Amino acid sequence: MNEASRILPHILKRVLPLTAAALLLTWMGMRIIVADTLRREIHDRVAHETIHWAQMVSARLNGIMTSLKNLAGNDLMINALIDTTGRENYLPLFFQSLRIPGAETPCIVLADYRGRTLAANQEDTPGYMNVPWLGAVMAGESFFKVSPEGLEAAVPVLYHGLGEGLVAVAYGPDQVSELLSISAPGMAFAVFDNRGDRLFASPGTPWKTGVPDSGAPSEGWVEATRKIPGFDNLTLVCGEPAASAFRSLRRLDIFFLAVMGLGLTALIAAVYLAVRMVTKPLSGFAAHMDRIATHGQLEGRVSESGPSEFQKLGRSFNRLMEDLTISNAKLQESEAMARAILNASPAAIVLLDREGVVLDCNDTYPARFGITRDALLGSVLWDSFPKDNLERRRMEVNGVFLSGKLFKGEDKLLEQWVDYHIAPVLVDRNLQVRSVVVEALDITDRKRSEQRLRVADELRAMEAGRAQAAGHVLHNIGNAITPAGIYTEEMLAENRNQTLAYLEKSYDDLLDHRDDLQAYVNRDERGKRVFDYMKSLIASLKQERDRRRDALNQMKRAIERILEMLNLQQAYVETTAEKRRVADGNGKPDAPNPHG
Amino acid sequence: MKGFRILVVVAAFSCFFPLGGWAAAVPQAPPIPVGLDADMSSGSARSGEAIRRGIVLAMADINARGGVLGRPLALVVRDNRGNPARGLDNIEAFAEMKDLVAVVGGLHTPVAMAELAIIHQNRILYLDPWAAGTAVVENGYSPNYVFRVSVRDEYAGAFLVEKALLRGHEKIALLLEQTAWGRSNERSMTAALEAGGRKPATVQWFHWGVRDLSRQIRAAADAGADVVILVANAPEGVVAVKAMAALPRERRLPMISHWGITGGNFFKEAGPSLEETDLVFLQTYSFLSPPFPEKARAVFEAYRLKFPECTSVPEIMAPAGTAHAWDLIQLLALAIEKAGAIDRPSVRNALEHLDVYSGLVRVYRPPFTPDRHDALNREDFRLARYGRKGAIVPLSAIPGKDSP
Repeated sequence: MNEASRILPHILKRVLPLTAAALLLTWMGMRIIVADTLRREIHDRVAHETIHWAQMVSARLNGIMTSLKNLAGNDLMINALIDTTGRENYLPLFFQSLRIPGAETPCIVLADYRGRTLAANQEDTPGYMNVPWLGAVMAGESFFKVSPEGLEAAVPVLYHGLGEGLVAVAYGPDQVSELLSISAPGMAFAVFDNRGDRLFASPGTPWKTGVPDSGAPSEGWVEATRKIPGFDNLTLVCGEPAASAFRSLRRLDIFFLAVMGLGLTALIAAVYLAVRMVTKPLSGFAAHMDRIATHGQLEGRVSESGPSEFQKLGRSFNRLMEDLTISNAKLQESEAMARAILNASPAAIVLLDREGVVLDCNDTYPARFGITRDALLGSVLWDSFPKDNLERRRMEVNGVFLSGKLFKGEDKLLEQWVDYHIAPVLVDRNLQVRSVVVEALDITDRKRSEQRLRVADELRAMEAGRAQAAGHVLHNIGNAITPAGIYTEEMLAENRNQTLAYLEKSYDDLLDHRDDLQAYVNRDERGKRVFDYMKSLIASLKQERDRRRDALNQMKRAIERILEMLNLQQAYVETTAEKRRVADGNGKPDAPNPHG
Repeated sequence: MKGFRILVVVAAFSCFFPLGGWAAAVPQAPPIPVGLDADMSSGSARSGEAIRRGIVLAMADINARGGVLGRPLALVVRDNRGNPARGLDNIEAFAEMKDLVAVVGGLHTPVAMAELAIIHQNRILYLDPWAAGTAVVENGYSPNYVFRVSVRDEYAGAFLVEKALLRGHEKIALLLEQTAWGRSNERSMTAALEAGGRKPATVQWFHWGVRDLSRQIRAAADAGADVVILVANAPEGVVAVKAMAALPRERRLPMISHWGITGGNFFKEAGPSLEETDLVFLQTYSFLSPPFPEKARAVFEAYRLKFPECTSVPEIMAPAGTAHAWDLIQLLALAIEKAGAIDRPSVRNALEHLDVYSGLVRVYRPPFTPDRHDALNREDFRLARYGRKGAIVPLSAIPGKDSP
């Protein structure tokens, strides 16, 4: 499984639900709007159809009324009312030939003012003598009634504006249905009278009786009702099965679903392609980085291929790696030098945190306790510290942590005199000491020397001149070392460079051997290397010169001065070597004791 | 129906209390009802009203003299609007009316013709002051209950043809309504023409209610007619006159009309068209040139008092109808007196045997006989035309316009 395939589910898991939800919401919104519009259009269409057919029915019925009115207004009808002796000659023939639009052969009657039939196109004619509407018709009104029993319509035959007879037409139930017959593909129609009786129904009509309430349309139908214009007692119901009417809506649904599906598919494909386009170089980049990190191969480089952003990223990374490699090499070199300085120091040096955990140490310290450095690192110092001195030393260390000030002391530890000092290092921004350096130097020999010095006062007098010169030298060295120590302390406080610590150590070494510098720099193997240390130190200090140019320059000058002093002292020692061997008494070489 | 009742009440009231001076003479005995079956509200309503006025005035005159058989005469009016069906129903209603002695008819021959059967079935005296159809009187019933003081088409047709010829017209077109009345005139006029060896230039028919007679008028002109004899009532007469007036002046034909046009509001409805046409028409009586001026003056005085909206003789509407009705009611009263009863057969017999009577229209010598139920003849006919304000003016009363 490639990287893109592995990442894709994660991206889709995050992107797809939101996108699908957005698409779904969009689809739903569009569907609601479109469906609402379509539904409204469908209802409008049905309503328009209803209006259209209502007008058509109205036209048919009006056609009947118009025909009746035309017939009644025909002067032949008026004359027939008057010409009682002659009308039999022409009226029957005329009526037999009468046709009225609409259904075939309705009964057409000419009646007198009391509804008595005068002429008709059929033998069986309805009587109009007792109809309740006769008076209204004779008063000049038209009559129209349609019911399940049939259709009756009558208009007055007016003469001089007065009703003198009537022309009536009567349709039977079947003829009414034929008269009101409407058909349109996919639609159903029904005509109701004001009592709710159905007068006509097209095939498949769902409405049985009563005009459907427009507020509660028949289930499964899109319908509309409309009064037949001019015939307010008639209502046309026009409808279309919802399944048919909303077919377009279902098509729209399918279309929208297809669009949504395609959209999601396209989205997944787009995400996959995008992921693939991004992850391929990214995974290569990450693999390179992982390889570099896993194997610590600082010389390793990432690929600078792929999109321009990745190329830039690769180039930037590789540049950083190169810088890191260089820095690392420098650091290793610097650390090696600093470690060498530390390890070369006769003093046991250990770096502790507040809990007394050994953060670092030079080789002198574990050697003093007969353990390895690795065993000491990370252990709590106080666990292995001599019990007699434990609490006092711990308090002193804690005191430095609290005060942040250098502590100096002298103690007898494991039958050895040590001169130690506790220096705060690694102070944080809140000026809290984070770690301290404990540096202990074996001064047992010094103590012994002091004892011997007291015995050989007279030799000291002989050596007064030399001592005075040595004091002068030491004074000068002290003058040179003092600022160097200050600067070293500053540097140690700032923890900018371990070299300063080593410098301090060198200073301390020299300070420790200020009474026997001649022997130390000439015979002691460690002292002999001081010059080399100094040279190396100078080289290291040059590296720091850019940032601490003034301090280092002064440091350099102090060290150079110390070097001059030492050279002078070395030259002087060559002339007084014999006397000093006598003063030592036992004739043993004065080698540095690592357990100081 | 409500209007009808009001009409009856008003009519009866008018008979009982016609004039203040006569009120004291009104007998207290129950009145003898006389019916009026005429067009009182339709296209020939003026004829009905003219007849009613003649009856009212005659009854007032009779009642003022003590009535008949000690009982006053009373008028009961039923409107038939010129519709035979209504007329039939009216006659049926009159037939059931107690003591009804006679029914006075109206203008329309078709109504009268339709009523003949029921009239004779119920032996109702039918007094005809206007309908001119020959067959109304020559109806074939025996005994015949129809008596007429009016024009008889048989005579009128011949009279009008004669007048047309006398006026110099050679080719006569007949424009007739398609009713019994029109057919009656078609027969009489054709007969009159044939008697002179002529034929109508054309015979054009029209129906009641016709709205345009241009086609018929043009047909008459196209047939080469130089005169049109019109047989129509007022509504259709107006249509005919307007159609004639609509022709170019050079094509317009003079018109000689039967008197049906005077039964309605012809003058007003014809309007300016009347001035554009040469129209004369048949009349029998005019208060402007009455045969008996004293009698006419007396009646007019009564008329003016009874109908004060009429202030002068020319304003009397359809005067022939009023005069005919007057004479008929007077003759009826004489017949009742003669019969000494109000049973209709007796009165009918009495009518056939009345003595000479000097009426408003003429001196009847006698008015009727068993063989003759028409009281007027051609001697009573004359031509007239409308004056400026709608007055019917006999040509004999117009200087230089006397007959023909």
